[in-house]
Amino acid sequence: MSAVTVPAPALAPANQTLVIESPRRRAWRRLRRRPAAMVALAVIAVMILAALLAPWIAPYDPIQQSWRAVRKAPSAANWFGSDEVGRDILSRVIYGARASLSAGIISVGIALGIGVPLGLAAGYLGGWTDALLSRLTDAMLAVPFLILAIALAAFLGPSLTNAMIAIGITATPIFLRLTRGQVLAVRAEDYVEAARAVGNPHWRIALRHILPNVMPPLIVQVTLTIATAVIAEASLSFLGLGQQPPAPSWGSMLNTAQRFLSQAPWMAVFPGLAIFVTVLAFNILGDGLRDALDPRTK
Amino acid sequence: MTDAPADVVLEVEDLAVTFEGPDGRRTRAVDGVGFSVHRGRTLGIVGESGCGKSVTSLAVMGLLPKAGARVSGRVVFDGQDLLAASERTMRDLRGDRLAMIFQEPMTSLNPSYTVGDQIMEVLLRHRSMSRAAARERAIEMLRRVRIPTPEQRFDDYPHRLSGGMRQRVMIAMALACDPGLLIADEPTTALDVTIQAQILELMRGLREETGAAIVLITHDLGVVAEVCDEVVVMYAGQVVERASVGDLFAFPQHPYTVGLLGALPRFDERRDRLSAIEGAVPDMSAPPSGCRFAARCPFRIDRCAELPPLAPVAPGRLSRCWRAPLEALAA
Repeated sequence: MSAVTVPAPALAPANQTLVIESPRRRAWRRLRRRPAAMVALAVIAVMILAALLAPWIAPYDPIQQSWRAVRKAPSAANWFGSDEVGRDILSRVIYGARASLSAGIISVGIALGIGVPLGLAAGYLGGWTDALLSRLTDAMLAVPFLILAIALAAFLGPSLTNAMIAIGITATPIFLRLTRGQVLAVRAEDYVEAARAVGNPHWRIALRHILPNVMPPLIVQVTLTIATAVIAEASLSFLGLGQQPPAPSWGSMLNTAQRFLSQAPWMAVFPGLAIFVTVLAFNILGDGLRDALDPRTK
Repeated sequence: MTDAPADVVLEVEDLAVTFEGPDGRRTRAVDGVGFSVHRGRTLGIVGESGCGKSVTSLAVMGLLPKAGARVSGRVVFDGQDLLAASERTMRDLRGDRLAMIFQEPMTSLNPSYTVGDQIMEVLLRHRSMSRAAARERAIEMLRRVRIPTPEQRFDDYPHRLSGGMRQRVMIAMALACDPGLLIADEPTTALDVTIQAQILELMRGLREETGAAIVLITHDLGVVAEVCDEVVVMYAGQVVERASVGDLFAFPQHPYTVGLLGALPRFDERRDRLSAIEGAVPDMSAPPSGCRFAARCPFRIDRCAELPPLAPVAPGRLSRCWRAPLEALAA
């Protein structure tokens, strides 16, 4: 029988560029071309490093009071000034990053850990599983994010851990709904049918063939929700439902600072700036990721 | 029907599929379909969109949704009735003994994995072999479907391959476990004409190498003439004609087949217009009680208000028409 000869020009030259580019690497390459996103990523990296290295880089003990340095303006000794009991604000902002970032990351981790498996189940199984989970999601999303977080945190009792749990639970329906919607779209793809046609069991189709293809929008949502969670943690701490004094948190620092706004504005400016910069960085990174992961943009 | 029964790989008898819509409306998409496929042979299932040919193939594979689709009849593969088999048994057969390739090579590969991974997955699912052995076999399969430099293509993601190359990968996946039956649902429809010819040639060559039986679903009579041995023509969920490929093209025995052949462009006769079949396929939620083609048939008689049986008209061929044999009419 005659062998089929494939005309060579029909292919990309095989021996030339054989840079095998996985979808992940392609997204990273595209992200790198976005300066705003890269600056945001750098800011986030600095924040995380500061939080991790706080004991070594903070100039003072963040809870050490000093009656000789009450409400001092920013100076060479206290770069960000000092607060009403003489604690160094720079040190407290650095330590406060620990509370804010861990609250942001851990609470989103909780939301992801509950929301994605449930969303996958709802989207893939459909039927009453979907109906039940979707109604529950609708009910939770009907309550404004912060109100629900405050209610849950108040119910659980004031502590940073409980604030993280409250924020995590509040953010869960966001991930459940997003995952469900993505799964519904991907489930109808031809390659899912093809995966069934080669004898894959349902669990394997859901985990191996569907889940990786719903990840890109989830990654974007993670960064944006971390920003929301940082604000929520600051709000809860401001209200006394998060980090407990004397441990520093940006939110509780703002709460203290509001009483001294005219005499010592630096007490409010620096923790406020820290929240602002962190939230902005996560939002810009999220936008950049969205563009980098979207196959339609170049 | 002339072959020894031992050669029959797939025997479908009286297959019927009814879909129940959310509003309770029932659509009988496939109605009493029967055919058999022999080892090393290719059966073509021909018909226009919506005639039930794809549903037939999905029913054979057991891939119709459990909720909403009711399937009856017998589908005997290697002596086993697939409609009676458990989902677990079907999963073990799919990809191993029963393989399928789809119409859309551009979307039938998972964008998240390399083509090599996807071929290896089938092998690791059905064969107890090491990853290294599976890798070797996957590269071997890529070579057999004539993909150049298979060792390098193995690590490519699907988006780097053209449609024709992807369909070759799909064929490699389908044949990785040496299936007894390959169902190809419009495998060349989405490809351009030169690539179509290559893929058909490839399938023909692989059938000879592996001895697999092939069910080729298509609406393209050119493809049928190219690769099939036997043909089943479907219209509105029913088989209207069954014949060997030579007989079908020489002497079509059903007015619908005559119409399909008349709609083919040809080089050997001069015609200003292609003849189209007037009218449209009947609504399958309320099919006509008589011959389903009657409304569009130029040879209609009063008796067509009654459903004709699929009856033998000559040795080895069947037609569902009161007026068959048609020799006198087709002239």
